[in-house]
Amino acid sequence: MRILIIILNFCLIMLAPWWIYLPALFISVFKINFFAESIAFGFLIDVLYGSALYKGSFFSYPFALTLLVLVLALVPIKNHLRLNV
Amino acid sequence: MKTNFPQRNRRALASFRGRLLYAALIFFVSLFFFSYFGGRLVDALSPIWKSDIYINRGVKNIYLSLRTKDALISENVRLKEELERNHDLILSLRSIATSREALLATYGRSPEGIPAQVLVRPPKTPYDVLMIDAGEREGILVESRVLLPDGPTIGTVVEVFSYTSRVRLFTTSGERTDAIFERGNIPVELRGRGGGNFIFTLPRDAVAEVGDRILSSYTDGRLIGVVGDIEVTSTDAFKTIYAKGGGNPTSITDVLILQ
Repeated sequence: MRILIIILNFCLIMLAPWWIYLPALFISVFKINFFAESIAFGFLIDVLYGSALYKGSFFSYPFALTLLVLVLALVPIKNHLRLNV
Repeated sequence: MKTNFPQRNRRALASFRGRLLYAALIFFVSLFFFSYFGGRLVDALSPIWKSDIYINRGVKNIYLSLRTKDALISENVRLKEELERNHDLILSLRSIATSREALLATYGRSPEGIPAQVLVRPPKTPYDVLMIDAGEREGILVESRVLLPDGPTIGTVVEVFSYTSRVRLFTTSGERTDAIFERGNIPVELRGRGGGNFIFTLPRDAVAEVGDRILSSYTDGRLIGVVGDIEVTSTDAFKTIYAKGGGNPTSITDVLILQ
């Protein structure tokens, strides 16, 4: 299941518009238990489609940072939510 | 000493630490990989975008070939009428283009650019950014200006890879561009708002109308955008101008890169 979702997310990032692959990625983070691989997807989105506006600074990878924070924040929160697959 | 923490919390804390380490490992490995091999990855993945373009084009061609004869006839009539309407405009634009080329020749600049196909554009990218199929091998340089084939300047090259380049449009959110407001030759600073839109301010007394042009501050004075809306309140010393960029970022298929 996890590998299937990883492949699906990769295909969506490569071929679909952002309003499909970003919600799909965030839903995956919520649905899959500790989906840390999403951080790598965040980097992929930043490298492929980023604006390079803050290149060289801390905010060069905004999606990767957002997903890192989200994945870690969900660890204590998810125990109290009924979202697990 | 007796601890007040139950065993269950200690296990949860250890599990959280393990996950934190795993996430940190993925983060730093990815950071290293994408920082050093990002350019090569973009080049390596560009065939996927190219094949996506060819598939889309093929599907469109199949759709066009399935259209009825009547629809084609009516479209032909409509296009002929449009061509008639635009005939005078084409002649006047041709004379402008000739004079522009003469002006560029006096400054020793070539109007020619390197043509490139757009591989990725919004809405695939969440920003107003394009990936084009020309890179270092074609002689593209960082900071080169990017034009639409029909004239308007749309952005600059911000990253160059071996076979591809990244173009940031002037309308990217957070991007600031110096330009000239044609009516009154007022220098302005355009701020990108994303979605092919700009915003800028003018003194309250400056005259501006919908449809006014905003030109590049370079010597060739190419079109950058057109005023779409004007907002002014009775207490403001400035009026806020909303403008559209030279082209719709979601439909740009080819560009020219000026060195």
